[in-house]
Parts: sequence; C-alpha cells; structure tokens
Amino acid sequence: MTAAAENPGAMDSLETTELPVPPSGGPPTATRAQVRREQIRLLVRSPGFIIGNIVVGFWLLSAVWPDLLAVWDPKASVVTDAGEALRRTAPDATAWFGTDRLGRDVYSRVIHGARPILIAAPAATLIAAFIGTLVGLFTGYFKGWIDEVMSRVLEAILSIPAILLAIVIVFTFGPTNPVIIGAIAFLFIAPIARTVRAATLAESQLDYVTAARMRGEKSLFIITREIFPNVIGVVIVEVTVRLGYAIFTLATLAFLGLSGGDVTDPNWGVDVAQNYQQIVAEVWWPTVFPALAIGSLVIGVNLIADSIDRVLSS
Amino acid sequence: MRRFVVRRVLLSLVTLFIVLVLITLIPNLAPGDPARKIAGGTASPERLAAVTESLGLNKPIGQQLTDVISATFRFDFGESFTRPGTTVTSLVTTSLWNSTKLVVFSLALVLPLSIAGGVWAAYKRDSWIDRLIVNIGVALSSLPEFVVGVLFLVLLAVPIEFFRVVADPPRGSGVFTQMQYLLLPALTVLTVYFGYIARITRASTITALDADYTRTAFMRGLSTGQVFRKHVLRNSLLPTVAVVGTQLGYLFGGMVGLELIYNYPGLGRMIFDAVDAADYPLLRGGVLTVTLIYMFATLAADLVIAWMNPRARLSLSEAA
Repeated sequence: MTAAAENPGAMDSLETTELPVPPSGGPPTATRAQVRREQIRLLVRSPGFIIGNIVVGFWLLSAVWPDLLAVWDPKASVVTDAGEALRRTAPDATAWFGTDRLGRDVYSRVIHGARPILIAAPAATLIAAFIGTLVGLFTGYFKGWIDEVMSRVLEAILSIPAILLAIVIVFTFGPTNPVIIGAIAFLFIAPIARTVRAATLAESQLDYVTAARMRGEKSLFIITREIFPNVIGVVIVEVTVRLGYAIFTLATLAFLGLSGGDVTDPNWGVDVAQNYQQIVAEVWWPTVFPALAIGSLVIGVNLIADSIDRVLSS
Repeated sequence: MRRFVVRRVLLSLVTLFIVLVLITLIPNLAPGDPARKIAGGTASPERLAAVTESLGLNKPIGQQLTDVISATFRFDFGESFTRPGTTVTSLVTTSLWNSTKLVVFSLALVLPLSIAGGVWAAYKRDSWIDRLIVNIGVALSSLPEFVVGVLFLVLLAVPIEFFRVVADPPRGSGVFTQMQYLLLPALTVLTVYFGYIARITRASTITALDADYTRTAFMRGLSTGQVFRKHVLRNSLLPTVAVVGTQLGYLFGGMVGLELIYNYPGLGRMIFDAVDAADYPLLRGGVLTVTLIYMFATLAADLVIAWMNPRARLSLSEAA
C-alpha cells in the first residue's frame, strides 16, 4: 500500500515539472497553473484513479522488491520441512497459489513475473510516445506532402492487426528483449502520431498560433513552446492508454512463446501458455493466477488512463 | 458523393500498396539466409537454390515487388512450404471460412447487446446502471483474449458440460452443434468488446439526445420509442458502424491467443503457424487477406456513414 500512496505523488511531480510554461504571458500562466492544480485535485479524488494506483502500485512493488512479498525461489521446487517436493498441489498455507507441474511456487512466480513486463511495457511506450509525438507535432503543423506520405504509411501499419505485425517482426529478428521492445515501440508510433497530429492540426488553426506566426516566431518555437503545452493532455492520455496495450501485446507475445527471457524465468504470459492445457485435468491454479495478474495490471492501467482522460476533458 | 468515393478508394489503394511493399520486404530483412531456415541446415545446395528461387530472393527487390503485386491480383501465392502440394489459396480459404464463422457468431452476440447497453446507459445517464456499463467498459477493454479465454475455461468449460473446451466441432456437425462449440470463444469476444462498443454508442447517443432536433421531436409529442427510432439512433449509430469497421481486421486476424486456447483453426493461428515455420508464401497470403478485410470493412463503414450523413462526407474526406 505504501507504493500506492507514493504514486499519486509521482503524478504530482510530473505535473508540476510541466508547470513553468510560456514565460511570455503573465496572467495566462497563472490561470493554467490553477487549472492544472484543480485537475490534479479532481484526479487524486476519483475512485478509478485511486483503485488503479493501488493495483498498479502493488505490481510496481512486486517488480522493484519481489523478495519482500514472496519467500520461495520462483525457479526452484518447493520442498517441505519433511524434505518432500510438492508437485501440482492445490493452493494451501505453504504455497498460497499452489505449485506447478515442476513443483515451483505459483505465488512466487506471479510476484517475480511483474518485473519483466513492467520494464518492457513502459520502455516501449516511452520510445513510441517520444517519436510518435514528434512525428504528430511536425506533420500536424507543417502538413504538406511529408504529412500525406506519413499519413499513408501510418494507415498501412494500422491496417494490419498490431499483434500480427509484432509476431512477424519478433520472429524475423529473433525473440530478444531489445527486439520485442523495439517492435512494440515501432507499432505504437502510428496510433500516437495520428492522435497527436489531429490535436496539433486543431491547435494550429487557433488564433494564438497565428499571433505567434505574425510575431515572427520560428516554427520550432511555435511547435515546442506554444502548441506542445496545449496538446500535452492528449499525449498523457494516449501514453497511458498505449501502456495498457503494450502490456496486452507483451503478454500475448509471451503467451505465444515470444519472450525475451529463458522459459524457466517467471513470466505471466509464458506461465499461462505452459499450464493452460492442464485446466481440463482441473489443475487450474498455475494458469489462473498469472492470467489474473495480467488482467489486473491491464485493468489498473486502464482505470488510471480513463480517470486522467475524464479529468482533462471535463 | 462520387468524388468522395473515388478519393476514398484511391487512398485505400495507396495503403494496400504500402502493405504490399512491407510483405515483400519481410523475408529480405530476416538476418541469415531464410532459404536455409526453411530447407534445413543439412539441405543440399540444389535444394537451397530451389527454395531461394521459389522465394524469389535471388531477384532484385523491384522484381520481387511486382511479383507480389501480380500474385495479389491473381490471388495466387503458389504452394505452401510447410505443406507441399497444397496451395496457399486453399489454406487461406479454409481458415478464412473458420474465422468468418467465429466473427459472425461473435458479432451476432456483441452488436445487439453492446448497442442496447450503450443506448440504455445514455438514456439513464448518470444512474448506477450507466456507471456500471461505463466502468465495465473501462475495465475489460484491452484485456488480452487469451486471459479471458482461460478464465472461461476454468469457470465454465470444466464445471459445465454444455460448454466445450475446444471450439472446432467434429466434421459434419450441424449449425447448432457448431454454435455450441463456438459459444465460449464468442463469449470471450463479447467480454472484451461489450464495454468498448457500448461506450462509443453511449457517447454518440448522448450527443444525439442533447441535439435540438431531438428536443423538437419530443416537443412535437412523439413517444420516446418513436424519437429513438426516427431521430436518435439514426445519428448515434454512425460512430458504432465506424468502430466495428476498424475492428474487423483484428477480429479476423488478431485473435491468435484465443484461437490457440480453444484450438480453433482460424486465420490468426494460420498466420502464426506460417511465421513460426518461415512459410513465407502462406504468411504473405494470410497477412494480405487480413489487410484486405480491414480495408474493405473500413471502406464500407465510411461509405455507409457518408451515405447516412452527408455532413460526414466532407469531414471524412478531410480526415482521410
């Protein structure tokens, strides 16, 4: 729960770092800061944001400090005090989530499984957010033939289901962590760029941009200092939504056997893939708990994304 | 209208061309010799040469691209590498038919339920039922299908005999048996899509309910049912049509995890197996089929919207 309490704080500092915006206009800056403060106040009070942060905070804690929550080695068989190895035992006091077919503690594997996905998903999302925002800002502001070409390429990428493209890319270049992160980043550039481009296009038509142009400001200044602060809300919402999809894609790739690590490494998607065929034999626990872990993380991220979206659009 | 259609179709063709470039490049980008990967490490030089030849990898890239384009228009990608003697076209057709059954059955559940849910939520705006529907949507959309799929296996298929653990019915089953086998995968699609589509329908229904024409219709003394049928739904279902159009490519080709869990031989799994076996002709045929489905679906959706709402024509041709 400590991590959950920390997290809204993290959000605060993120927002406050954005605050010193244009130094040019005095009164508008103050209004914007007030609006931001009010939005943050609404945000930290919304139930979806609180629940989402508790869930995501729990998994962050598991990723950062798994030994705090789990005692068993996720890769070794559980051995009782009497010296017997447990295999496929149902959940009980020793192994809270039961043991899998190799006698490994499912609970420990679930806790330790948070780290790989919570490193790869934010990494891929941030790379995509950075490039996608740049592409969206520049194509939306300059328009012209580069924008036309770019829009067609993005549309082509979006016309193939992302998971299929991810499979093709990861198979072609080999299932290593950099390839997987790079593939997801590449695929998410398209939707982020498209959203930011649309927002930039709308902003470019507003008077303040015309005014800046007439003042003789350079395009780079207009894009980074005038337009960007006004589309940052769109970027934040888009990035949190994409983070949910990155978790989705990573988990699905792992389920299909495309994970960066070794098969014995704790990984939620891999664990579901290796155990789901035992469900018909009523050995449900090695599958259900990692599946619930994936589900809860996606739901947590979605709740956060949705509450940010609601606050910013209210 | 005609100008809009022409422009929209031309744009689709440009997109198709870019996808064709992508699928031509794929085997060329693979590190190492893809022919050796397919033929196996111990293959004779003659066999390697034959595989390279059939992949077209010894030709310049421009020639490869025209070959792929010509294969696309004939819809003939030759024989599958993994199953010699079987054409890609016949494999794609079989999988496409299986996927079609799953998608049609799923949408038959998803569309009425989620549209009704969305309209109901909009009608009862800010009530507990509205909040429930919206929050289900937030929580469940973008859950991986394989996660929902395994949970249904545990909760439904194992304890209740009526639900099947595999989705592929025995050969020669009747329609109802086939539907019984497809029920769990379809319920999985319903779970993932219900909230998403309900939310979009809700938002557009609220916009339509707040519009002046709706108020006028109520003031003219029309009943709630008449107002909904004649004024609200006509406008509020447009975004839903558009969203379903954009999701069709995914429904046909993206549900690899679900098709694996329920052991269903659909398009997604066919493409996954083709990638796994470096079966490039099958991979190209499959990816292209999914792209074409997406293109036709989004095109059809845009045309339906343009036909139903003249104002949309302008904004669509701007956006497209």
